[in-house]
Amino acid sequence: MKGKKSIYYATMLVAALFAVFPLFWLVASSFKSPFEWFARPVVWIPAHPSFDSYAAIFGLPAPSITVVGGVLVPSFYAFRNSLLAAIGTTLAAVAIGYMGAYSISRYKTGGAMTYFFVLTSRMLPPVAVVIPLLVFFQTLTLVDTVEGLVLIYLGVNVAFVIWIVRGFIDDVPKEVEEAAALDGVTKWSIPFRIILPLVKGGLAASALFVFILSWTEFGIALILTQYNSTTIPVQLFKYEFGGGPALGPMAALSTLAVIPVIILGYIIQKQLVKGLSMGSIRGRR
Amino acid sequence: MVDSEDIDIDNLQFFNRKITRRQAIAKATAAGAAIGVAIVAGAGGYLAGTSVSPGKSSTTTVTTTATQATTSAASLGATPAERAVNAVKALKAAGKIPAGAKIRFLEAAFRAGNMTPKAGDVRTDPYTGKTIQTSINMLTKWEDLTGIPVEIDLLNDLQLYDKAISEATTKAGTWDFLGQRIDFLVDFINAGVALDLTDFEAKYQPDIRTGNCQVVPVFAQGYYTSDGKYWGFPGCGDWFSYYNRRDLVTNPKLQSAFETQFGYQLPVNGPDTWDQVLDLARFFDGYKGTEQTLPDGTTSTLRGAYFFRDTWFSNIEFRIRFLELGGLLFDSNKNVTLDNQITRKALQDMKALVPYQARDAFTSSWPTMYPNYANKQVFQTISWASVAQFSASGPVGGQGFGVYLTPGYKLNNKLIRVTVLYDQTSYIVEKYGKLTSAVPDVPYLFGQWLTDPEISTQELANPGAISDYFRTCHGLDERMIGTFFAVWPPNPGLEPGRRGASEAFDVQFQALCGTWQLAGLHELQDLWGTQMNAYFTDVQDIDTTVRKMQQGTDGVMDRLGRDAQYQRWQYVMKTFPPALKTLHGIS
Amino acid sequence: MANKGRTSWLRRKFGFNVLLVMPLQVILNFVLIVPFALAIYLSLTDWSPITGPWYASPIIGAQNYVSILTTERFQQAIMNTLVIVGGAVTLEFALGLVLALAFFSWDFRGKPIFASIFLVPMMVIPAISGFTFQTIFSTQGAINDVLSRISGTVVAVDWLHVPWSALSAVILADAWQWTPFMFLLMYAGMTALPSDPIRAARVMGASERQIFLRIMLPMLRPIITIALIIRSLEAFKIFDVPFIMTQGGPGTTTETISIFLYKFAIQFARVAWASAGAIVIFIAIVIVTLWASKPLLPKAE
Repeated sequence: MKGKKSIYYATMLVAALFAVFPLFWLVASSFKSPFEWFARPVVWIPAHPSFDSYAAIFGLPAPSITVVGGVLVPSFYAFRNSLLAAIGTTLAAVAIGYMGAYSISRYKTGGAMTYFFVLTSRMLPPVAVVIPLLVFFQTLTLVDTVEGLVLIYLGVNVAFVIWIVRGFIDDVPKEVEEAAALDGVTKWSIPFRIILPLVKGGLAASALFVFILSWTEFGIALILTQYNSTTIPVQLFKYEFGGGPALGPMAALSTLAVIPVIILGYIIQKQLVKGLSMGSIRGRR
Repeated sequence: MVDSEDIDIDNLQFFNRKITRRQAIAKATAAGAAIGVAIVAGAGGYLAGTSVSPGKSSTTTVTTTATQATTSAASLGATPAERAVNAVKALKAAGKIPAGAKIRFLEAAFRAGNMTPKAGDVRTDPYTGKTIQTSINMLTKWEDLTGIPVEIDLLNDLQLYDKAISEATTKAGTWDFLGQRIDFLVDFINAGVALDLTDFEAKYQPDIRTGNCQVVPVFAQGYYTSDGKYWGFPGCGDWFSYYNRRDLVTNPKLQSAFETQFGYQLPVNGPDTWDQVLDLARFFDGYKGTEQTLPDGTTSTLRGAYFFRDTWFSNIEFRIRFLELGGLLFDSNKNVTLDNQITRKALQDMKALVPYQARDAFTSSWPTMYPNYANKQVFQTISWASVAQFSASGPVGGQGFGVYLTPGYKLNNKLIRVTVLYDQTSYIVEKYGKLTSAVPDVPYLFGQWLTDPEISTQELANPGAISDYFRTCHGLDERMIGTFFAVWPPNPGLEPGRRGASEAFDVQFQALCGTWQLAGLHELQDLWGTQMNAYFTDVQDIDTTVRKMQQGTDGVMDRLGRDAQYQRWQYVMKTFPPALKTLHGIS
Repeated sequence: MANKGRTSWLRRKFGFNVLLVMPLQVILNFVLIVPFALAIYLSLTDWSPITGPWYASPIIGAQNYVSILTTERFQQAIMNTLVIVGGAVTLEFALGLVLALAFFSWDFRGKPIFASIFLVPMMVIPAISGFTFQTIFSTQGAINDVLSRISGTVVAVDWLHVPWSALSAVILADAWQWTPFMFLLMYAGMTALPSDPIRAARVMGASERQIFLRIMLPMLRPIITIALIIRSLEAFKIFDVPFIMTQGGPGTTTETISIFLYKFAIQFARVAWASAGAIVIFIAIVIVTLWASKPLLPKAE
């Protein structure tokens, strides 16, 4: 029995190691000095950990890498923009997605087509529409605004909410609504007062996915943002060290960028597994 | 809004009330599409009403010609920089500059870093630990002088082009001033991003082709196109030289071993031909600290060469070899001439070096080559100048490295060396920029001020170092030479006693070929680079490679206008070095 | 009076359910349908940003479609993408399922902590995971260093310049990032399984293997199908990781559809031509997904 236990832990540790190793590499890189970034032989753990990479991304004095161009644009703004875009997208996607999912689940609005139509929004490679999108947004003066970014992320990510939440609503027995209706709750308020609390787990799970997807998106943001709405993934590409990638500041910024998502993930982890298990993902009967 | 009368038992059927699929889709789509169509319709009108057809010459629109000023160039000041500052002041006094005007400037991150240090910034050289004083902040200095702020935006070198060309799509006018590779100038002109500066040149006299700010002529070609118009300011510009381990080639023991093996003397002052480069790579590859211990006692394996083989830099070396072998892109009938023995020879010779290369030459670029060379892990490389300064302060040391001319090929017993001027950056004024639309003079004058050697040499915080901002286009200017070359380590390879390594530049100037300014060059480089890379990595054979290069190039030429491309190529041929001109009978 | 009339019109035409779905429809129309319609229009023209305004471009019909479909490089990009999708999704699924099964059936402490650790890769910005894996796989990277230390000789394989290993590296990087997603779905699905059949089978003396194969797997089928569809759709769009790890090289052997479209639509400004390719790809995906997900779509009652 004891031997079995240790096999369990050993397996889990190996899996955890595999999951964490690239991240360890990333964090270690963020503490390396410029000439350890690409050094040979490999520097695993920097002998003299340097905080210059972290200083550089916030525009603080960083003697070893001052010439990295990105110091001119401190990452505060990128964090702010990313947070605004990701939170805005998440809230809007959950709200709009929930209403749509309810309608699709309960009323079969549009039948299979609407549902499939929503899913098609995840089938289009974003780079395929980014130029038409650019032309379109230009006419609306939405280029280089966080609002424009939220709109696009909403469009490409809301399918995730529909997909997850619809299954949850399917799993709520119709009797719940019928009973509520008998108690005098109008059909207008049933989805919000009765069903919403029952599918919180699904909303949390979908919120996390939407948050991650909009937090890490690169291709669209690269083309559509400049001065006012640079997000973290684009900010990464503002760090150069003499024409090559400045690995240290990039690693430092990505390390910091992972933290909010991990915290969020940890907070709603229970909801996540419980929520996802409720049924969404079990698919249709 | 809510009708309570609806709540009765019968109405519980609402769950099952079906709308047919078609009805629902029709309703929902109609509503959404109506909004969308309305927006597009409005937008189309908006676009049609406001945008300027990029096909037309920019000088025909009122907003983009030089603002009429009452003063003449000479009265503005003696130097281009003075004229620029005074002209802005005059415009301001005349009330021509709107309140709150600012110049928006897109620049590659690493160049911008040198241009705008923060007050009190101090840098440390990674190898020597020496403290380096940073340069002055050019942007605040301009603001102090003229009162016009400059807002800078940066991006990685790689994504810079993508952003700038997407400006062609939107014509959003996000920036007024773009730092760009001049290689792609033709695309920027065709796309209507670049503002024609010819009138401004006449008016404010940047003295680029003449006078005390004259740039190296082969660079100047980059700022003017085949129609003689002026489009860009001198920025960074660079070309490859050849570097190897001076401490090894001067070792008598190794010299005699080399002579025994190859039957000729080890070329101490740099190899003349690419064949010698290959011999050197074979000789030094795998050198270990055994019987023939390296003079410094290095025990790690030395690799024979580090010649970049990634798609971008393969293009550079290919062009060098292609021209040296007498290759031309077009024949006189305007046919593309890539599917021939010259291309084959160039590519085969490049591939022959592969077994002796440091393996990461394929996927990595100079950020790994620099430390490799400086740490004595490779014998030779073809690189640009900053590797000298970089390695001089590292383990290789001042005596360890040697810089030489680019190797050549012997044609009819005559050695031909060509150095390709590549990655020439420049500044262009964006035609649709917000300030450009109001007063095009201001972004133009900023450019004239910034690139005056008097000003731009002050940017050289750490000349020749890894993050240096090269101003080699001013290589004829004594002020520039003083600042830029003063700190260079002595060059043992060529005529000792002159200006250190800079002398390699002097000689290389004579072998320099101008930028290949063609429309669609970005696409061509990608085509050539990926095809070559596939050949070097054994993905496809030489015949397929050369055939695909030829077909793809033909496609680009046909699509973008073969005649115009041929004209541009004729213009490039005018910048050939003398030896090539003689070869092809160009006057 | 007019007011009342309008209300009833609104209620008649746009019932409650349609009103609920309306914001969704509007946002999708706004962000996807309009640009997509524009893309279809553009694909029929010969527009490029460097030839003039888009609305002034002449319509040339299906030329772009014929041209891009016969382009060898485009065909290769499709093949590469299929290989990456196939490899990555299979790997993710296998690893995710095994891990979830271990998590589900083994009894050990610290599950929440392990679960949080397993979810970490999903939260890394894909662009930066591309950079990380590039440095790990490069000649002087971590993998060669470990191999050198184990073997005692200098191992200097350039994993990213041999076609098969470059493709494998891209697959591995994608699998690293998205196995957690599979794990999460599989684990969630398992915890939702009714416990009675499993318990009953156990009482009747079925082996763990039999329980898994005969009872759990069939019950998990819907979720497995959905997970595979969703992951395949996402993996099909893979861009950041190979773009940064290999730039599509060596040659064009790891160039995916998204990289191809990015290069031609944005870098080479051949918008019309690349749009045609995008539309072909989109239609193909829609057809395949429609076929694969038929049993999962809601049926009209």
